[in-house]
Amino acid sequence: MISDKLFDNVTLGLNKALSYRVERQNVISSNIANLNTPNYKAKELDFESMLKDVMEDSPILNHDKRHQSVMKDSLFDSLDASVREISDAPTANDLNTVNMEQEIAKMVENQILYRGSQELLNRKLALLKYAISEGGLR
Amino acid sequence: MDFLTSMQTSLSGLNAQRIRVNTISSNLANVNTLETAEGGPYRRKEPVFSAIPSQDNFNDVLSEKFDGVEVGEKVRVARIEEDMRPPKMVYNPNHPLANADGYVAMPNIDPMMEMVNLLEAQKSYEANVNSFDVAKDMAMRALEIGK
Repeated sequence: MISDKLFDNVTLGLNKALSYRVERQNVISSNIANLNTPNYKAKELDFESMLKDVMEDSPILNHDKRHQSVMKDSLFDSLDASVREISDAPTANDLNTVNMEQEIAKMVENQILYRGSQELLNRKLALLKYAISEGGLR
Repeated sequence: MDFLTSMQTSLSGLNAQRIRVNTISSNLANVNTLETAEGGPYRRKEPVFSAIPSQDNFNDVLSEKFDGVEVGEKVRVARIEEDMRPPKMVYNPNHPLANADGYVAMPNIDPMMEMVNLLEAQKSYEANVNSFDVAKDMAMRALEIGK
């Protein structure tokens, strides 16, 4: 993990979010590549529910300063999305469960959220740069 | 897992759909072919797709073996199968290849079905191009982090 002295939780979280978006894109592109593969089961990255579990157990919500540093390392390191099969009914006679419209929609959503996270990360880093350059004086 | 894996996966999809379009073209071109090297009329051909794990690099293999993290799946054309349905028998007693009853064995190709398959292949190809573009866009944006 990158230095936690320099980067706060939000930056680390954004970092994780970007990696997750890349993995998700990967899963979506295999679903799209296998649009016409017989017996292929559509797959999905299950991240949101996992994040929810971690956040509920974590001390991030009780704002205790003593917990902050513990949480910072463990929270984001333990986050790993798992690939699961979508249990939808097959959309075609060949038992393939990929729904093209759904995959395209997920892909676009994923792309927009990736851009969003990237933009946020840029703003955070810009703030850091601003501080390093003593408020733009140097 | 990285951007390149995603692009490779889309590429495998493009490749598979292109082979499918080639097969369909060959079916349409041979819709009236009555003699082949194997004997008898031309038989309809169809590619069979199968999914293969895209373990491109050392890292993918390692993460799958150690963490149980599945990597994406590419598609490949496993083989090209011949349609074993019987040929269409068309009554044409004057034809040189007609049998004793006056019927000619024509290829078992339905041009309408081929066209529908062609459209589907085209749409799937476009979907793969889109997914490639998205992966590329994400990769380009990753390069702009911190700018």
